[in-house]
Amino acid sequence: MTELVIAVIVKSLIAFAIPLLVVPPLIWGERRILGRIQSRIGPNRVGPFGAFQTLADAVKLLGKEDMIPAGADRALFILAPFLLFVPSFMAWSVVPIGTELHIFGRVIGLYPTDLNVGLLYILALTSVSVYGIVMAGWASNSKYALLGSLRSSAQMISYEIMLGLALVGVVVLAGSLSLPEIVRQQQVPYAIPLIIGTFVFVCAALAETNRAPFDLPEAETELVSGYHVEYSGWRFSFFFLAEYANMLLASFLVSAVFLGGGWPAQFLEPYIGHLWATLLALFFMVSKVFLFLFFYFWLRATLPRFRYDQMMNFCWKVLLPLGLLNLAVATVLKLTVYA
Amino acid sequence: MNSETLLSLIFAYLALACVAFAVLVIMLRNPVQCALALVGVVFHLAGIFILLRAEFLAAAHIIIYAGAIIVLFLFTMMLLNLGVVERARQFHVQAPLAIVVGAILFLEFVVLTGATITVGAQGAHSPAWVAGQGGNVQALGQVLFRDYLLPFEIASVLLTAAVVGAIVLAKQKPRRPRSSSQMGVGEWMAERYEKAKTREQDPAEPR
Repeated sequence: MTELVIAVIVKSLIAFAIPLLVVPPLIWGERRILGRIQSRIGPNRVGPFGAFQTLADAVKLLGKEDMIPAGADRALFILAPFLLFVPSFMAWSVVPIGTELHIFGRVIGLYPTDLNVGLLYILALTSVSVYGIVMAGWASNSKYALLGSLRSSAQMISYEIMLGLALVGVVVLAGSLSLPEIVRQQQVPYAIPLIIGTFVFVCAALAETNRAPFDLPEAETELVSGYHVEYSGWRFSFFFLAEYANMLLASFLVSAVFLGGGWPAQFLEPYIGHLWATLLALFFMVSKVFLFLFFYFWLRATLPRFRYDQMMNFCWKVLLPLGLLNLAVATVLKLTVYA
Repeated sequence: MNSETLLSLIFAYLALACVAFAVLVIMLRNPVQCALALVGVVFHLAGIFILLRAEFLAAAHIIIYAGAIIVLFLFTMMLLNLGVVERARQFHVQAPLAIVVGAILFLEFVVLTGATITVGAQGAHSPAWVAGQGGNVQALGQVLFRDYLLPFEIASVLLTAAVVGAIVLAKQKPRRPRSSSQMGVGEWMAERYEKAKTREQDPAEPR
């Protein structure tokens, strides 16, 4: 019992620490990479290569005046950033960074929990984070924030469906909703048979995390920003942190669900032993995550922003048929190749 | 502390929070806050489902109720811009009816609890059967897609028809051409863009 409790506490701390520790260097990395792509240097003053820039920015945000607009619904205005922040961190409790490690005569699962409805749990939490956006816009008592929140929540609700639809194909092939089990089932990463589903999922994940080319809340000049326009200081930083935690979550999900997690390290196990194979699998998993994050930044530097109606059309007229096609492909594969 | 008492404590918290949020749903004055309290009820109810080892139900409950239905409530209320409702009048009118309905529900609750204690749970799908299927997701799949496949398919067709019907009703073409104030922003921008494009192709027209 005590051992179990300690294991749970340690795993929860690690699951909570991953987004908190990775996000600040991630923001710095994004700005450096964007700088490179746009032929400029990027942040380079604070610390070696500007590595402490995010820290300096965080201190700046914390030191700013905390404004609550007159006429705002105080309770909901204060609650809204947390409604967005908490689900994005809760989702980490099912994200696998590997499968199992057998060491010192015990089995350590390299995931916080093996929930048998893990994928549904993540979808449930993404669907709940809409509340943070709706509340932020409504409680601000500002028409720009309200319009922005309607825009963003319509976007999130629409793309959430595509996210689920893309994952249905994976569930059909793996025959399980548990994330470690899906990772274990992939002899070949699902991105190869389900290439259409991967495309749908990546697009939907970009839109769900409000990233380019779906980053309408970032459009200060043409749309007066989005649902968080009235937020300042540390309350704004919560939105920021939630966005990056979600981005990291999406990268982990793509790597685990579509790119096979530590694939192909499991085939090397007979040759190099269990421990080295597990470490190699971890290395592959993390490399895939960072490659996907780089892809995120690359897209942001390359693609122009969608107009709102183009974005909605893309969701319902392109991604929905593709998602259904993906489901059909998955069903056929399940009955033939994966039978 | 053994796991039994821990589970009881968790259940006590979830149940009390459920009731507290349910009371808030009807006591709060601002409709948007009421809807948020309803989300609280849904979440704690999902927690109780998890305690009962019905994880699929818990996740589906949150996705459908919290993720879709209450969001729809919220949208409607935000767009209608309802004011704060007068509390006294609201309760005054509904009180007799509420007492009657509450009494009936309470009676049902007592009868059901008593029956569960004396007779025990009924039905073919016992916890042992569910465990034999390999978990509640598998058990639900068996029941929905094998035992009750036809009703399930009929329900799906009905729902699809309802969705298509709603879209057709909402998308009725307006009789007369709409003025720019009736258009959506995107539509208006698109039209302006089209106009600008045709102007560019036609050099005769003055800018």
